[in-house]
Amino acid sequence: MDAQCTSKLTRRHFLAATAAGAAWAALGAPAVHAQERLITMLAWSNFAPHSDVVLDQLAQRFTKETKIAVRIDHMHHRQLIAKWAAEVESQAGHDIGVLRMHFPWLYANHLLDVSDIAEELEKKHGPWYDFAKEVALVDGVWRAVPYYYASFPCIYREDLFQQVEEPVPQTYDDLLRAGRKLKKLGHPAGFAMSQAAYDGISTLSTILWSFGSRPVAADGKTVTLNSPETVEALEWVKAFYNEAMTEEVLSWDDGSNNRFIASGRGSWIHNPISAYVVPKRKNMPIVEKLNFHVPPAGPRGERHTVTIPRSVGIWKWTKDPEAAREFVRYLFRDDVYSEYIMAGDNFNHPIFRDMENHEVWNIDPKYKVLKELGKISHIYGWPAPPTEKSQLVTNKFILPIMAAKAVTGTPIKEAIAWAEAEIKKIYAA
Amino acid sequence: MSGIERLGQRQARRRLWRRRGRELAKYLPLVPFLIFALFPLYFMLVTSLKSDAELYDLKAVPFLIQQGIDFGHYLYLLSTPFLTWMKNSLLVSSLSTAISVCIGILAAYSLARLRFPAANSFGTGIFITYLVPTSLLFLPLSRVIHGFGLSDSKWALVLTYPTFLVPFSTWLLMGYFRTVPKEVEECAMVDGCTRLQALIRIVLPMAIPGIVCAVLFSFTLSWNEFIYALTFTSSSEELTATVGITTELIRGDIYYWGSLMAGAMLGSIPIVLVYVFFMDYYVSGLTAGAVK
Amino acid sequence: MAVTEARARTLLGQRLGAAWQAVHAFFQREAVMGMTFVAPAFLILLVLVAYPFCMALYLSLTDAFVGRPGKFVGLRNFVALLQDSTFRQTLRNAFVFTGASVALKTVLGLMLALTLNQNLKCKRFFRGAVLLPWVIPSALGVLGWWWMFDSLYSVINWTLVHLGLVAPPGPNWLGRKDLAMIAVIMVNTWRGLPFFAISMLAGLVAIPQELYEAAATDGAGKLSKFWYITLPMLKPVLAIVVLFSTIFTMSNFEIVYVLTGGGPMNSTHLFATLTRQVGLESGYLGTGAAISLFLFPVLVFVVYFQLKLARRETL
Repeated sequence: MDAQCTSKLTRRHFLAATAAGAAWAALGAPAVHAQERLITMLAWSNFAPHSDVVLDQLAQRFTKETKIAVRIDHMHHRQLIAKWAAEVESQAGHDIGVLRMHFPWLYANHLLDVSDIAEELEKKHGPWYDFAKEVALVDGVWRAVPYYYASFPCIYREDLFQQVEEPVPQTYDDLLRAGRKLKKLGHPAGFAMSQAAYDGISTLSTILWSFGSRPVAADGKTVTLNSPETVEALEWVKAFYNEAMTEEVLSWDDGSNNRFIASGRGSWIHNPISAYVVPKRKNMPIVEKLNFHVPPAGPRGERHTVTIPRSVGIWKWTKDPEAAREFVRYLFRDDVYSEYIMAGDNFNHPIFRDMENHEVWNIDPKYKVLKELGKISHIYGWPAPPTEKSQLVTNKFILPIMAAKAVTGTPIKEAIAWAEAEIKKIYAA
Repeated sequence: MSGIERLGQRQARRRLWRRRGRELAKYLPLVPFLIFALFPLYFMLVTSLKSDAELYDLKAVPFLIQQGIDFGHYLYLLSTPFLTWMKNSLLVSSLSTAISVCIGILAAYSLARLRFPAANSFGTGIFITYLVPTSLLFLPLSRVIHGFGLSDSKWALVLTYPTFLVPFSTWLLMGYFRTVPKEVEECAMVDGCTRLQALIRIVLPMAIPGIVCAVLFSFTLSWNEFIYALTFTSSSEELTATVGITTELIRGDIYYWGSLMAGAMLGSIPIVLVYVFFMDYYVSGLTAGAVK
Repeated sequence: MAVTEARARTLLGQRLGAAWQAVHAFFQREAVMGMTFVAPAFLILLVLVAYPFCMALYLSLTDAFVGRPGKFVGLRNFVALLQDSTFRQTLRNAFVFTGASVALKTVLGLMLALTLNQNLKCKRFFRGAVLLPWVIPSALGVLGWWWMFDSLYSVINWTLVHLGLVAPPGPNWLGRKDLAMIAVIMVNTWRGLPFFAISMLAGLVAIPQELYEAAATDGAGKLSKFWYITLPMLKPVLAIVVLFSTIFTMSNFEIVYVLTGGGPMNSTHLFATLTRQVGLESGYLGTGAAISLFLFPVLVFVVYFQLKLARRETL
């Protein structure tokens, strides 16, 4: 430890480090890019993957026509919630967003007014479906343009229904009667009542609405869950749970009902058509036996179901709103729109009423019945506007928990009172 | 052979059996523990190697592969950004480990050896932050990350993982530095070395087991981290293996179990490899905290 | 010309050298050096732990929502939480989950440690095998358990049914409140047991053999040896491991997040999962921060004990 231990060595290090720091600072200077128009769009990774490929092709064609470059990013839908929150917090990010369900409402303050585009489209294609207006028209201003929707039909085993000599259920009484026989046959029906599946919220909303129950009124203030209709609906749910389903529905995740019907055990579920499309793609023999039907009517003839619509919105922080608008308009041009819709195996239904005769419905003869669904579809929270409060009711799984309580021994009135108190608390805050 | 001899032989044999029995009795209690520890892993492996047809066959025996081994689920992983996630995990874990252990060495040495004002409260402070769970901080931290302009970036993880790695490695290394005799260091300094040089040339080499230990544990902790990665990153190309596998392989309600298990197996392999090679360090690291 | 330049350069070099020496000497001072060495760690913890922690405190006193500035609301979030049935359920869950998991891990861990402490062949193999669940990423291990608890394809139920122990379809693990809690406790125990076992094994190894020999000459049996020597000698290790585990079990996230999402009927929600549901997925930052802060009293309690213990050890 002698000569080596002088400070020369360390000084050299010190100087070298300083030089490196200077070089690093120089490199950090921003590179100058040639001026070009670029817009970016963020969408979910579509469950029909081919439609993402086609979307990219369409964007490339747009660039050829207009010299505006487009970059489309896709993200898994579960990650997207946090991503939007981050972009909104930082007021920076993508120019255009493909927004699920209630997001145009949630972030209305951060989205440009696109009423001109929406109104043009309405003139061309006729009045929007109710749900399309409900998700994107915020206080009289269109904050996004409804793009396409996924539907929630009932999926049932045709062969088993024939075996127990039951027709396609038209009412919830029909369904209960059929379910009883099917469970005895060893093939129960099923819908989720758990906290691991949004499916449960979808089906329970469908049932409650059809029985005439409205958890929150259209004013978005009055909690109207505690009603004779809700009691009636839950009595049906309880009977269906005990006589047509099994306990397993209390633990289901979003994939459980698909496995349930594809394994050959289940006889009836309520789910987007993926439960049919995936076995079809995998050439499973069960597909032959599956078919769709419109959700049954409630005791007073009301029919409703849930939809997952997606809309295209332009964020306020965009630097080139004109280019963004142009691209959105392009997406809705007849040929472009049609090509996109055709790419998704009808997982993405066209959102325009005048397209109920579009060839996309002919891809599979069984799809025909699906076009009835758009007219009776709503999103979570309906008829209240889909605000952040409505979102919290959804995310806290209040409706499935209420139902799960009711079928596991809590008196129905008590279960409703619990849910009512929870919802009231959310709306009072 | 006389009767007595035979009797003696029989006794000996009986004694042997009794000894074997006693020997066996030592291992017997281990069996349930081994099953409990290893069965889930075995089952994941089996699931990942089954064809979908067998996997979703209600009549199949779940813990055997009867219809042939199928690598389809592993091949499927290649069509997802799985390799990107693994690379990200590797990058984030190595970088944050390197940063944290360096910072930890300095802090630990200083707290173990040097006298300066407020040293004790520093020590306590670091110890307390070690015990602040990540689940208490992830929400506000996401705002801080955002303030740094690192939302949805793996660099956010490189920045935040040291928050739990630094206290941990400091705490671990302090113990090791205390075991290096002060005299050795003082001797070097008398010979003309500065403290820094003494640290680098004398103390660090002697504390190598501790440093290896800190590196191993930091690497494992970062590789296994979940809640920060889930919160601070969202784009596919920024995700780490744990988050990518648990979120992106679950495509809504489509079948995924085989590939999910395949991903879980592959996502664990790097850490298991590290662990197999350095197991003794693991054990000593685990026990260092408890015994010291 | 050239000569003066060269001389100037050496002069400059000397000056720089002198400055460096001064700086160097300054840093050589123990106090300065000590503080410098601690500074990076201190800075990181200040900016990325202390600051966000204060921010959590502040957020919890506002009604902040994603994309909107928050208003100061005082303790309203905390009061609302205490009146909220979901939160109260979460509080209960956290204590049941932590209490049961830690107790199980302690008892089983001690048993495993005693087993491993025998004179075994293939000692390394056995230690390695039981350590595995602790080594692999917990989020990925939980995926395996998720599939093992599946309502249709559960391997646990398949086995139970085929052994004739239960009637098909077997227990609905993730669908019943009590069973779901048992399930998450089981997975946590699976994950945490190795840590307990190996730590206690180290504690056992460290007990001097002479104590046992002395006890043997006094005629002590196996049980009294365990009770009067092993347990008391193991107490410090045990205390530290238990306290550590309490914190990390209480703040657990991934098991519940992956396995049950907090269900059924909120019966497995923990602080971290509820925080994420309310604070991140629903955007209520203020309420979310308030939920996570309820971990704090527990933390303080544990740290207090820990420090008290550490002091007593060193004295």
